[in-house]
Amino acid sequence: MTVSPAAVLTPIPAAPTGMGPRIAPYLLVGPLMLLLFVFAILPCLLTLLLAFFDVDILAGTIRFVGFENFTRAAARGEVLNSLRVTFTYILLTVPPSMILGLLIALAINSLRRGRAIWQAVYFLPVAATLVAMSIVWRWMFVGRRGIVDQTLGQMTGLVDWLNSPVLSLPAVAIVGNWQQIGFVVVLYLAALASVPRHQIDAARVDGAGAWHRFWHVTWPAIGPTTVFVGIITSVNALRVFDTVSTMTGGGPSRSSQTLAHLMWERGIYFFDIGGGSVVTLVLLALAIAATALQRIMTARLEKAGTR
Amino acid sequence: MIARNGSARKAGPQGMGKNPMPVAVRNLTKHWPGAERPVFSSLDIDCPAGGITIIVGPSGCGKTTLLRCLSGLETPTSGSILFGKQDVTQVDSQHRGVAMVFQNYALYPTKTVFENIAFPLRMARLDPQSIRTRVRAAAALTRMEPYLDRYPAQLSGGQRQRVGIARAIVRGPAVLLMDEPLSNLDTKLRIEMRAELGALQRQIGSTTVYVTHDQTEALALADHLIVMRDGRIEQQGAPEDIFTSPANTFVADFLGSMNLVDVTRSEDRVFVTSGAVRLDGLPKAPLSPMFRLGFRAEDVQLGPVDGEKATLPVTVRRSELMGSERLVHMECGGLALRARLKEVVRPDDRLELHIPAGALHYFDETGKRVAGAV
Amino acid sequence: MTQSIDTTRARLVAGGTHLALAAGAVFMLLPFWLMLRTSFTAPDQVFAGNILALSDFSLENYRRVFAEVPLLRYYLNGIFVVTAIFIGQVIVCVPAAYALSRLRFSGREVGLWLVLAAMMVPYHATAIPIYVLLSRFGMINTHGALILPFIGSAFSVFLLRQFFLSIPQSVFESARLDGASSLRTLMHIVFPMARPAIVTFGILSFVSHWNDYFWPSFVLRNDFAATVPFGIVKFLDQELGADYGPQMAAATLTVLPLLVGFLIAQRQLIAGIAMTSGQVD
Repeated sequence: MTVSPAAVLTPIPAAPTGMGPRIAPYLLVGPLMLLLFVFAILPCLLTLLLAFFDVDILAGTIRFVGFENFTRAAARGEVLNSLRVTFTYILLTVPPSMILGLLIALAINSLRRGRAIWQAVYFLPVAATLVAMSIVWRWMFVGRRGIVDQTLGQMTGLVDWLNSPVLSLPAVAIVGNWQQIGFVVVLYLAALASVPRHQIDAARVDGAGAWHRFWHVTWPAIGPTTVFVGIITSVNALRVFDTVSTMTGGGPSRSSQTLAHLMWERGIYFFDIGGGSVVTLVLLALAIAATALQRIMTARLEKAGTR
Repeated sequence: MIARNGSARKAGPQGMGKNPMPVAVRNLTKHWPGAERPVFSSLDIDCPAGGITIIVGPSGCGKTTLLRCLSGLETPTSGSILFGKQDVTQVDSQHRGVAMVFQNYALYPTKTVFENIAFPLRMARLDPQSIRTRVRAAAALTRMEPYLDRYPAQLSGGQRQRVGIARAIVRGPAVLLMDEPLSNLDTKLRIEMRAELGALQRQIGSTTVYVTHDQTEALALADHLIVMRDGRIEQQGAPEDIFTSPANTFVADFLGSMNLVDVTRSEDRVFVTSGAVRLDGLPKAPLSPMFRLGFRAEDVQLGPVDGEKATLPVTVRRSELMGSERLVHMECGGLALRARLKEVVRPDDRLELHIPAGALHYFDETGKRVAGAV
Repeated sequence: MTQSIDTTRARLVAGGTHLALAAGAVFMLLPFWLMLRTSFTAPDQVFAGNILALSDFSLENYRRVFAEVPLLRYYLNGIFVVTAIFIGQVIVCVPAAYALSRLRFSGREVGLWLVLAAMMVPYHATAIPIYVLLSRFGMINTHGALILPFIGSAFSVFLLRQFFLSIPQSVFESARLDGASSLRTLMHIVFPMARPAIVTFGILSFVSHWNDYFWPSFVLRNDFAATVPFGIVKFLDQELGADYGPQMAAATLTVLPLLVGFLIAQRQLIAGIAMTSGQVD
């Protein structure tokens, strides 16, 4: 006689009670909390402290110096210079890469075939190791014998960019744009994919031309992304380091020294922890303001379901 | 074969080796911190061992929170929950040994049907041989045997819920909880699954607590029925008893939407309060000056009725064909009434409705049942 | 008739678009071509003839790089550091994100607040105090200095939390009723479900840390723990002043592993960038 299926399902006793449920959550979040505190919260507090001390890492000594680090930095004038350079860099990279990125994204989005290939081509610089490509660009910008001087230089007379106080920052910015456009393209393509197809079709049926379709349907839909991309590319500009470090070293005479590079030069190259901390404070204030804005936008956009 | 056994009202010999235990709730209150009113307060419930207890009520009445307290997923503010003689109020859901079927199936998307059903057994560290035997048995009972290698995403809604049910019964749970298990299915499937679920429960014999907002489901499946509203129990008992003598107008309306007419008595005559329409008959009516008369749409007759009866003059407004009969919408003294009739009637027809004495219900002004059909 | 005129016009527009995109692509790809071209040209031929054409083919530059640069060590360091960061992130961030989104415990709000606060602080801005901390513990020039700061990733916790919140709570409740402890729910339910998110994250984390030059510049002074970008640049600056052939060979060897990886995982990488806006730390 076969046993009925129901008969097989005899009760299995429940597991005995333990302490597990109470302590498990703390085991799961504990390591993260420790790491976040040590590498995110503590450094912020430490910056405030270090800015008022003279720290000698090698000798292991620390001495309170009050505002001396600040007055010295002001006397050198380098922080203001780097602020100016950084903002100029933002102006030279954010608007161009956003406009070009949007145009390229619109072009790719309008295609029926070959979208993936073009996307990959424009994205290639994003994935490539930036510091290695900076070495390539340095070679392209080399005075006289580099490709830039041999072509563009002969046509315009603008030569030896990396050694020119006027052209060194634009040279770095060109690489910044080159590297960043693919990133902007990807973000815009994602936004364009979410533009409701039926709205565009409706506009087409209503006889709207390409420009009207863009201005009245597409643009409002990708507006939030534009704000978002603007913030995020600006934040990225605050951390520009690889290109500056390899192409110009911040020179000539600090004409291309961004805040991130100044921070490294002060704190690491010159071993001046106090001076480096003053730069850190400036950078931190800017970065926190910008990331706060960016995270708020992220949260808001995600809530609105735009992305 | 086995599935035919569903008509037995008590757990038959199939629920073998199990000692189904009653589930009881004593003076149970749940109050969210910061909330103005408790979700429910001072509930006392007895769920018969091995039977299906159905908690029914409109959304927001606290039925789901009550079920979650039984499962241990929520902790009640005060009171106690008893499984058999054991007080489980403070036992974590992980250790309570109850099984639950969820409205949205709650399957594990990365596991096959087999592994979904096997999961509670793996957690109990059963040996592989027993796991296979049990999963096969549970799959056989839910007719999911051909699909054991599929993933949840490859199944239809009905099949997913079968997996959910198989996973719940595979451990042979003493207590089985179901949270609106059929609500995500379409109507036809819901009726099919309802019958199957009832038959399955008889075979398994687990004490089952089942929450739904669907009154037909409640009447069809319940051994013990609990009607809830606003965190209170309006009535509990055998479904037939509740249907035939609802304790108040809410229960009367919620289960089988009863026609309710406010009535005024002056001297020896009774009128519909809103329209001063005179009513005749009303056997066993209360003697108070104001009360409510209730009757169901299917108890209305047009032709001559023998014996005691009540008679209402009405005007036909609308008639909807529902197969062999019609749902007729009528008006009496400004009140909208419904009747299920075989006869053909037309809008604006004036009719006399007759309701036999056995189908009349009387409620007082507060809605409480006072007299009438038993 | 109009039909065919319309299609012809559409084809012309598409053709023009392809042409415009190709023109832009020349600018995007030119550095890659110059890098390859120069790296395969014999050192004495680099400045001879057309700067764009590959007139002769030589492996001399690569021979020199391999002979003089401890490339293998840089690669191994890179692989070790990137793998360690990824494994660490998975072990630390997935459980924490799960607990912060789906478990109830007192102190959860504080934990969430800490994650949000940490997200506001980009590590680029706090490099100096972290450097001071690491040097206090004698970790300068070690692999640990490249790994530890990145394991507790607030942003990945934030994104994983969004992911877990998108899964119905009943799935986790069901596991609990099925007798699974939090840890076993984590192992049996959470990790398998989070796999797509973890893969996306792994790719982004890999790319970002493999390419990183900024952080090693702060915490490394010699090339003991150097990853590829840092090691190569340090070497170039010290040894190869204006020898562009070997420089380009070194750059090629730095970029190559990622370009190969990019061709393999291109879809996931682009999708990941679109999803996270390129933020991984």
